[in-house]
Amino acid sequence: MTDLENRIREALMDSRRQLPTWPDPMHRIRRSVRRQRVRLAVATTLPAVAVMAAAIPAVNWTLGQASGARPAAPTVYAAYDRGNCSCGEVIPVNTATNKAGKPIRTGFGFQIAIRPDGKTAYVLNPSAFTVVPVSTATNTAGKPIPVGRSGIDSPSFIAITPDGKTVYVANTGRHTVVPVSTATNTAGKPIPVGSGPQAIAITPDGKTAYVVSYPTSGNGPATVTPISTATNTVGKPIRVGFGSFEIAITPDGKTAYAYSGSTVTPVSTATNTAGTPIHLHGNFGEGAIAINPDGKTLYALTINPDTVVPVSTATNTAGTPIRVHLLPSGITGFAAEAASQFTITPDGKTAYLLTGGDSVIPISTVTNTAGKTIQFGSDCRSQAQVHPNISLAITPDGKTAYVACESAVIPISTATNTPGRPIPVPLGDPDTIAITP
Amino acid sequence: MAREDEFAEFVADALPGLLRFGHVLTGNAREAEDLVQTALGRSLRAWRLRRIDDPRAFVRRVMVNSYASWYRRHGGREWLTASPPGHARSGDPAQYVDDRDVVWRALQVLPAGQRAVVVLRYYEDLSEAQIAAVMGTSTGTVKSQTARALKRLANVLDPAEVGREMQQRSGT
Repeated sequence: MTDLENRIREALMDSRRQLPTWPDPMHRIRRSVRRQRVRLAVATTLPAVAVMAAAIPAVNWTLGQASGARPAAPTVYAAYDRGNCSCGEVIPVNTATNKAGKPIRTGFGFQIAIRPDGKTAYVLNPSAFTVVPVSTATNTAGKPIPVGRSGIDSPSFIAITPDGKTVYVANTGRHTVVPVSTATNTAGKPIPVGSGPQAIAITPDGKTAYVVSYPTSGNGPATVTPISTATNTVGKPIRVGFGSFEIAITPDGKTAYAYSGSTVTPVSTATNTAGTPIHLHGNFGEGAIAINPDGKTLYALTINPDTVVPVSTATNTAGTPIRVHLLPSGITGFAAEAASQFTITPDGKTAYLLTGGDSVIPISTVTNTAGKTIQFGSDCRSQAQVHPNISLAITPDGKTAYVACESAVIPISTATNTPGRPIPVPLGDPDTIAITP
Repeated sequence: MAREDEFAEFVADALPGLLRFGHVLTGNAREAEDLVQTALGRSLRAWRLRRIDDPRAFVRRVMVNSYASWYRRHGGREWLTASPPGHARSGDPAQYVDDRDVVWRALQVLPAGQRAVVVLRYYEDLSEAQIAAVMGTSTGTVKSQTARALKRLANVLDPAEVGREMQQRSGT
């Protein structure tokens, strides 16, 4: 060992260096895993909601107006963590004025599902094993609904039926899905599903919830379990591509697609049988899928290589991958790569790919090409570090995309693809964002 | 016991070491946290999928790969430091800086691949073959990366020392 080598060793071993402490490491890690998943949740539920709104706008609108509870303009709900703890709050932003309202004390907001009539936002708090109903009329949190109790429980995904009557929560650790009645705000009997439920997609007619699971131990196959929403009983689990963790259903309700980051497996909802998996080239367990509201194309984001692959739902074949740069140069932050999310506008013409960096890439679904990257300002990063948890949602009219950043919510005009004036919010770690219909 | 509980136990036990490893690897406390969080997130996914025999080694491997692949993909940018490395052993006592700080700063100028090799060699005490296994490369590459890193460090720390270091090494 030379003198230089000894000096290197001493410098590396230097015990004076201060180490950070993580008061609740599992909370932090779950957030990091979930990030990959919830991005997807937003990406898959949002177009579905948008499609539904387009199909039955009159019904939704009448319900809302008759009750008088629905605000004239949609409200953005952005969940933030306060520091490295299991606490947190949801910030409402009025889309008419672009002003933030008083923070709503919900606790950690992992994911938000909003009733199609817009009256209630359900906030999933996996740290407290609860779902917190938030009245959108008063922007106040109701009594938390327990959906689990102990460390074995891990509520990880929330979905709501199109009629707004039932919220389904996947409990990954218990291999169950917990139904919550929105009429009584109580949890029903857990429904056993395939080992390790990861995500839920509900058919547009509201009759069936499809749950994608991959086993929490061993090397078993991933499965999709259909649940009849009328009886909360399950059908036979359907084998899908290894490691599938995400699911989306076409607007016509005929096909559910399970995604593993490397394969897309079509499942016929008529026969509940899986077709041949479509092979892509990304890493297992990463990426996202979203289905165009026109139902013709599924878009899969793959990580390594970073591409968006259009998949024809008619032929179940993959088209030419569109190369994307998920991290703009000069940005640091490893977590950023896992943060990517994409969301399609209700008109189906543009997919917004939120990079792990401080930017959004608009992708034309008409020409299947990536447009000019939309850059945000310093609200989305601190000390040149990207915030790994930034989140994006699009208004039902498709005119504005809202991005939750560290110290502001940023509106982006989808017509010009330019960011508007940042809406300041109290500094925090963004977790998720959702918009009322 | 549920698998996630096992993972939580492992994390509680291994976290300080992983953060320290992340710190020496990236040279930056904040980046270290980012890297550890990402690596543990990816490892938790893998943990749910299958049994991992040596989770500590697994996580470190994910960290090294995430670090190196991120670096590769983003243009091989060098990390700039606030102050350039000084010459600790030649300064007068009034300007004396702890040699460990000087070397630490010098390490920041190494490209990620070379830095990872140096950290695995001198911090983790791995053999060239083990380093090659962790980084998914050949022992030849590990050898050349190490030599390049040492030469560069010597150059940065004290250009006059380069010749001597090289002689010393080839003599051992």
